[in-house]
Amino acid sequence: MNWLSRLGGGVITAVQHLGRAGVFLPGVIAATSMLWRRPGLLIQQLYSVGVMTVLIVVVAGLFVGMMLGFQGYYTLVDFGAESSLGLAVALFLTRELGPVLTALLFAGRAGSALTAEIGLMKATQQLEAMEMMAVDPLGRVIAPRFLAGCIAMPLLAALFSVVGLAGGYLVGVGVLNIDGGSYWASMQTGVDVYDDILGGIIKSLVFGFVVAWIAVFEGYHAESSTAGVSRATTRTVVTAALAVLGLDYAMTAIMFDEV
Amino acid sequence: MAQHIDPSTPLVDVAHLDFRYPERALYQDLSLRISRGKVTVIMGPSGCGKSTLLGLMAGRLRPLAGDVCFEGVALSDLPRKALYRLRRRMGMMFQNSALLSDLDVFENVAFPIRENTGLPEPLVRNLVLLKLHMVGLRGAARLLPAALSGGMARRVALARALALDPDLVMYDEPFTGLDPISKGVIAQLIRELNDVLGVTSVVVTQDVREGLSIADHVIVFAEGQIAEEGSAQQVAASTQPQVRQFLDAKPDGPVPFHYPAPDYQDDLLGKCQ
Repeated sequence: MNWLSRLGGGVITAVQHLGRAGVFLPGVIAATSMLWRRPGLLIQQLYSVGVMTVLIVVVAGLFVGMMLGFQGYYTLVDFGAESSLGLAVALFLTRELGPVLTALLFAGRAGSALTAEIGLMKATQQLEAMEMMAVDPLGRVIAPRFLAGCIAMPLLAALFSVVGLAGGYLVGVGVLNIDGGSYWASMQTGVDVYDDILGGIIKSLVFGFVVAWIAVFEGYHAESSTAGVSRATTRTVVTAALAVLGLDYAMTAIMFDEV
Repeated sequence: MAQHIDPSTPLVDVAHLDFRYPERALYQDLSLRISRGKVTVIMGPSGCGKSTLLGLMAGRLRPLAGDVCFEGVALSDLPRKALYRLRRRMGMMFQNSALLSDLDVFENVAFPIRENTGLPEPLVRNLVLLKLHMVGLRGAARLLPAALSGGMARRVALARALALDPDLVMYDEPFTGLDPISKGVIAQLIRELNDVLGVTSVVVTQDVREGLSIADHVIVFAEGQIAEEGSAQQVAASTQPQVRQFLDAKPDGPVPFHYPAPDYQDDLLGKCQ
């Protein structure tokens, strides 16, 4: 019976955690309103959350695009359809890989940094000190980081897709000698703004929201100790990655219309 | 700010306070008063909830029963906004200084001023330099907290606590972990700033010598209760066994050396699983 009670305890803890995160969110969203008066705080966080993640997104996007160039060609050439390589790469990137891989990179690079930073501020009583100085840490520390995450993530996903397309072009046209004009032309005719691009944008918005939420929540509720902060950081990356993949499946299923 | 209030009424009035953490009870029916313009030193062994008391006085923690009144206003039923407004009249110096690690000394002291007032930059600068000069660190304005020694960080924290010219300044373990010179500097600063600025100071500490040297009023805690209260001389002459053990630093006494445990012999022989 011991394992049963442990299982039950685990479930209760998880549900409590989820409940706390749910209660935490409205406060954070309400606190973002103060950023109209203090846009500087948001810009500062957009830099450290967004701009600092650009390099890793560009490099990853380039490699993924080049990989897609090879894999897409390998599949399409059997059907004599290698001139549609541009379309295949574009669909892969805008519908799936752009939002998902960017969200995973974003969770690892920016999410973990956010959690560790907020967690350490809590552990060293900096958040408490702010409260004592009549400054609400939710507005001053949490809200700008959360909003910066929500804004930066879709932009980074778009960047990932664009760089990925260039990577596919490099391999398809530069290495495999398909026609450069048809690479872009197939894309132009085949990619649908609503189905493909908008779907990808919605996904990246949702992922940005979820990853930023998890990151600031875990940091704010981290146990005030070295081990507590490191556990919270790990939890951010693991939970955010799983949430992104799970939500991606759910959203793909919802957006899927039978052709 | 509060000239119309009778100076003999206490600034902080703690009445019949009950508080407990999930794991242990701290206070039952605790009442005490902090008089205006005085240095009140609260002493007691570690873990007796002295810092918690500061959290309660600042309205960061909510008591289970009883209340804390700041100038007659009960903190526990204040809405958040009003509580934050009241906190502008309180300053707190934390045990580990709690300086914002990404800001330099100047910006740390400027932080509460910038966040709470819309003062123009030249005025903020003058105010910050004024506060830093009081604690002798005007020259360190551009250092980052990581570059400060423990005693200097404590002094910056003190300047920051005083930034908004509070009525009440709370010190959480101001002497812990400092060398004797720094301890002396901090003790002298607490005393002088209290008298010069006319603030009310509450010092929570376990350093008997420094604590008694600066106190107008001393409260000694033991087991969640006030064991002794009075002037420094009265407390130093106390015959209460718990107070004596604390003041004389005796390892064993009413506060036992051993944490409650089963019989030693039985434990070694494995008889008590």
